[in-house]
Amino acid sequence: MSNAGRKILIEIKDFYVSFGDKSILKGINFKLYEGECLALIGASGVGKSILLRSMVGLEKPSRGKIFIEDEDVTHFTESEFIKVRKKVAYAFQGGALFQSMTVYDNLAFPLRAHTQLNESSIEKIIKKELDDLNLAGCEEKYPQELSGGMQKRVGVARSIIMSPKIILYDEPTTGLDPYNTRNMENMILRLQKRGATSILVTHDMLSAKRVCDRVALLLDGDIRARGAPQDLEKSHNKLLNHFISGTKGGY
Amino acid sequence: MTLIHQTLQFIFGVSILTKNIWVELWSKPFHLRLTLNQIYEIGYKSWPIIFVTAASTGLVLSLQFGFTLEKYGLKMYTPRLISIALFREIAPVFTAFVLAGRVGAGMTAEISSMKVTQQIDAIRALGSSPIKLIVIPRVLGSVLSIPFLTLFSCAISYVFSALTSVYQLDISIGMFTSRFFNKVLLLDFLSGFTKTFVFAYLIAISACYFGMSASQKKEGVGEVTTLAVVSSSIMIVISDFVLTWIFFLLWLK
Repeated sequence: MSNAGRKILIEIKDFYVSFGDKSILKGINFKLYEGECLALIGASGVGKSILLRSMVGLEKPSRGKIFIEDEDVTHFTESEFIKVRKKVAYAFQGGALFQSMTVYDNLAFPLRAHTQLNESSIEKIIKKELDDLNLAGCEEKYPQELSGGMQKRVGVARSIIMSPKIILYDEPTTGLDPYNTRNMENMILRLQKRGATSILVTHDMLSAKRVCDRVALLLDGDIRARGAPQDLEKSHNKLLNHFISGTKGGY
Repeated sequence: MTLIHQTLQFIFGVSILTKNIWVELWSKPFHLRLTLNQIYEIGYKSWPIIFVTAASTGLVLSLQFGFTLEKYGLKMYTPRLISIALFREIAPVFTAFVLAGRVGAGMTAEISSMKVTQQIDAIRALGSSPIKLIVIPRVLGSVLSIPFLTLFSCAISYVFSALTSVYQLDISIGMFTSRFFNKVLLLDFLSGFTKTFVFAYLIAISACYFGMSASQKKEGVGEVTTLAVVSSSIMIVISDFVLTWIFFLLWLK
């Protein structure tokens, strides 16, 4: 898909994150276009999740800029980030569900906080989300009664329930069985068709290929390869080939 | 990290948290139901432990003062001494110490568990404020419940010290009651009661600060819970000294 003439929704410029003496991200630059799905791949611990979390203000960068719809949000305060978080959703890796609430109340949380919908409308929306993610009948269960994969799917459902413009998925298919992996991919594709723009952090190249328009390989704090999934497969980039084939190489 | 550095970090962190509470307290939405839940958790659920502590305090005070004063022929001053000690110091401070353990530890463990399981981040990511949903209801719940638990503690201590005086010191219930309340000045009561609001705030703010600053490591929960109880206990002792000094300068001398 050509990006010419498309609006840039997220732009990361010269982005650095360090914890103490340890530099995690070292000068990342990329743009995310409207309607696009970008897969961020890379070994564990290279800072993929930190990059996603920074976009919704859950981590602070050491240097660099983050633009969301041309607005510099890098130094936004917590209250200023609230409006950003209404249009940029972050689906946590482990679901991050509220343990004291049922699945229903977890899903209702953002709707009750940010909309004026009555309970019957909220119930309809929740039922539909749960059906879409193969979770019907779980409404009254508590997160600790669900498997890890189910918690992850409820977490994704909660983050997209407000129909955000941009969705950041943190390893949405890790730990899911093949059927639910496919189900999750279909849901991401459905949301893209509805106009959502997304970034997908994943180790699963097959999912990246099925769902994403572009793939970026993160290594040693920087993006070392990028392109369409089918092009990257044919690439002569050794680091990328090592990552895809699961051989040690530069890793 | 040195103790001085940790202490300065704690003072700075608590000051920022206090500022944030003050700013967000006055803006919508108000989570009344969450505050009422906390009043139930902190206030109602703490009555058994406060009952036991207050009863034993009443018994011990009566025996200690009664038998000591009896040696000097001053047994009849026992009710007066007990009432001053109870209202000014013992009920507020004992109640605060007991609740720093029960309520403070529970709050810190709960909040820090939410932190390590990313529930606090989830609140933020969903466009809500953890200060509003987590911190303010606990601080308000604490400040609104603990003074009443202290009053409850005073009442129970009175009952048990009176019973001990009747059965062990041969002071009649009428005599004990009239001497216990007769010379309790409003200032005695107010000096102790005012302290309870400060202690309640210190318990809650310390628990919330340490809970919110827990690290993602699992051992972080135990560590911050210990730190919260130790810090709030030290702050209770220090603030008790400062407030007593101020009350003496202003009224009690």
